Parts: sequence; C-alpha cells; structure tokens
Amino acid sequence: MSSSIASSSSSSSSSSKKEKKISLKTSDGEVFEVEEPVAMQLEIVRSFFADNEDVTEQTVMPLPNVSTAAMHGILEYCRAHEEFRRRMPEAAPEEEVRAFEAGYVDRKSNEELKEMILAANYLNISKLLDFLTGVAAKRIENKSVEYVRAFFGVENDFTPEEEANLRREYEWAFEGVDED
Amino acid sequence: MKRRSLYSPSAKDKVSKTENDKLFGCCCVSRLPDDIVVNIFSRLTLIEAARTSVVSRRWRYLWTFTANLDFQAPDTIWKIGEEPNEIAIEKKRCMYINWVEKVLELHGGKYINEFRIHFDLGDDQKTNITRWIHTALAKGLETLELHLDLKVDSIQFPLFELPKLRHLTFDVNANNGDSLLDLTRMIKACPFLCKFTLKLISEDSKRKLRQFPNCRHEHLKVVEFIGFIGRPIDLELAFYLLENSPVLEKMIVNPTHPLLIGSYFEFEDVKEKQDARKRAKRLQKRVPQGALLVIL
Repeated sequence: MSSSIASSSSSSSSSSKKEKKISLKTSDGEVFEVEEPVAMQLEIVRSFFADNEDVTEQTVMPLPNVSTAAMHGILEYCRAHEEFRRRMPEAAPEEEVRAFEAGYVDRKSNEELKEMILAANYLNISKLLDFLTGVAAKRIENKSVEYVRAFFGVENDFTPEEEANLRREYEWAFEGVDED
Repeated sequence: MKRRSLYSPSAKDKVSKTENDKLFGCCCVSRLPDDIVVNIFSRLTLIEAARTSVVSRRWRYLWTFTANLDFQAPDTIWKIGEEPNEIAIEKKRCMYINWVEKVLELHGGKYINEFRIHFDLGDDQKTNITRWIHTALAKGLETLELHLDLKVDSIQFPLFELPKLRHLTFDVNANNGDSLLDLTRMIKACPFLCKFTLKLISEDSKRKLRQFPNCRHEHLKVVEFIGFIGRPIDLELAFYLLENSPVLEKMIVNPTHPLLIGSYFEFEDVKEKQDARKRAKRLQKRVPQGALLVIL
C-alpha cells in the first residue's frame, strides 16, 4: 500500500511552520504528521520517543493497531484538548470542554465509538479512554439484553431455558428497561 | 423486550444478525477486550451491570469484576414510602440487605474503588454495614458513600482505619443536642481523605458551641455541607474542619434541605435558608489562607 501524507493542518491558528512534527503510520499505511504536543498525549508515542535514543525527527512510528478512521477521531480530540490547554494552561474551560465532547461523540456511530475505544486503549490515552467508556456506558443504559448483545457483538449461547432461568434469578435487574 | 428472540435458536441467530446490521450498519463488529468491558460496567449502576449476566455464558460473571459498587435499589425495593405497614417495610429492608450480601459474595474483582449504599437502614444494621465496609476496605476502597438513616451517636464505625479512602459522603439524621463533632473520629480514621461531604437533616437547635479537639487532616481539600443550618451542631464541625485542614481549598455550604435536592423546591429561597446563610458568614473569619468559602 502506498504511503500517502494525510492532512496535518492543525485547528490551531497559532501553530507556526517550524513546529516540530511527529510522523505516525496507521494500520492501513497512512502517515499522519502530528504536532509534537498533540502526539505526546498518546502515551505510547511519548514513551517510544523517550525510551529509544536512536529515533530521529524523521522516524515514522508505526501504529499497527490503529486504523486511519480511528486516528482522525483520536487526533480531533487531542488537538481540541491541546488548544484548550494552550489557551488556559491553569484550568481547562470546563463548559467548553463539555460542549466539545458532547458534539464530538454525537456524530459517532456505536461501531466508530468502539473502534475509538480500542485505539485509545492501545495508544494509552487514559483521559480519552475514560471519556469514551463513559459514553459507551450511557449508550447501553436502560437497554435490553438484546441491545447490549448487539452493541458488543456478543452471540447468545444460552439455551432458551437457561436464559429464562437467569432472567428469573436476576429479576430485580430487569426493571425499567427501555424499548430499543 | 423482544419475545421472539428468546426462542428457536436458529431463527434467533438470524434475527440478531440482521438486527446487528440494522443497528450498526456492519456485520463485522469490533470486539472489546474484557478489561474494557468491565471498565464500561464500572460506570453503570449495579442493576444495569448485573443485567449483562444474561448476555452470554462467558459474560455471566463478568459484571462481578466491576470496581464500583453502587447499590441503588431496584424500584420494587426502593419505594418503601408506599408500604402501608412496618412488616412490609422490614421485608424490603431484608431484601436490600440480602442483595448487598449476595453481590459482595459474588464480587470477583480484586478492587472495589467505590462503594455506595442508599437505603432506609438504621442503627440496628450497624453490624452488617460495618462488615460490608470491611469487605470493601480489603479491596482498596477509595470512595465511600453511606446514604442511610443513621443517628450521629451511632456512627462509631469505623473502629478501624480506612487508609486509602479519599472521598467520604455521609447522611446524618441529627436530634436536638447531638454534636457532629462525634464524626471527627470517622474523619480521623481516614488519613488520606481529600473530600468530605455531609448531608445533614437536623432540627434548628440552639445551644452553646462546644470545645473541639485538635487533629490535623493533612490531605483534606474539599468539604461540603448539604442541609447546613448554621447552628452549633454543624458550626462546630465546620469550625473544626477549617482550623484543622491546612491544605483546604474549598468549603461549600449549601443550606438546602437534602431531601429537596433535585426536587422542584431545590432553589426556592425560603427564610430558613436565608438565615442559615447569614449564620454561615461566621465561618469566614476562620477560613485558612488560600481556601474559599462558598455559600450557596
């Protein structure tokens, strides 16, 4: 697969041309040039550059577990947070952060959300992982078992009798379930 | 709930596949590893999490690894206010206690970070409650919330240390003549406590301020009073915490009655609240440097 250079334009207008970039290559071969402070939010990248003395600015770090689509989502989040940090280094503007985060996940399907969770886990961005697992929890709240199975992609391997017995055993847990 | 999906395995599989496609627009669904699934469960109430035991064989006990145990009771047990007699209420109390016991017994995780109980349990349940806290404590408890119906003088637990506890929330039902200073023992037992929240239901009692002990709480940063009345009963404790918390950042004083929080009347500005606010101003003089007194 040919390596193409993905758009690396930062949402930040203050970023200068000389800003140091870090090259990250996704599973499908796309190379992202990412501003250093944004890339360093990815713990896996930070430790890669901290632990390897022979890496240079030209080093392209492969990220075989992250798809291009997930990478776009990850960077959108990290860039926004870098921008908040830059503007208000002391304390993040909480309301703005919340508004951004709400809009950010609203546009994502369940499948995209899970892909992002996997990526955030692999890249070790604990803040994003916490946020996304919270969103996933909200999405399965008050949902039926069938919905939860579909959400996580889990096959039901109980016999109907077993399932009926379990539902009886956990009767208390089945109040107030919404229609899917 | 879809009854059709419960029966006839072959038909059911087809249904769930197409439902999958419909819901997610894709047939190749990403699988999340167990530790992430448990992380998601930890953000649900226990009832929500326990429901997932019906998802599949492998998931049957996955929810028992959740690190956050939030015992918000199911509605049928919760609504004891509608019960006509004490026998029925007692029966529900037993159900709740059995539920907590059962979940603690099933709990398979190494850690319990958060433990919350909300129920009409009184002083006679102290032994059970203490035992539950012990169990959670052994698994590294950090956040403890007790929304119960306990009296001040009965809060003798813990007789043990809570070495990792960082957040403590407590409901207290105080009578005339009680002193919240009795709670200092509990706070003392948590050397690393960062945040202390107290929900107080108390009569408007007048008496003299009592002497309070000295004991430093080196990590306490945030103190929150809900249901503050500004009488000796809570002023004493507030003074005590202001004087003994060298790194205090914020003391929040909310004069709203705890039972009105979240209700239509929460923000109604009644005279009791205005008076409590006036009395709360007395705290200002003792606020340590760098800390903030917020009167809501």
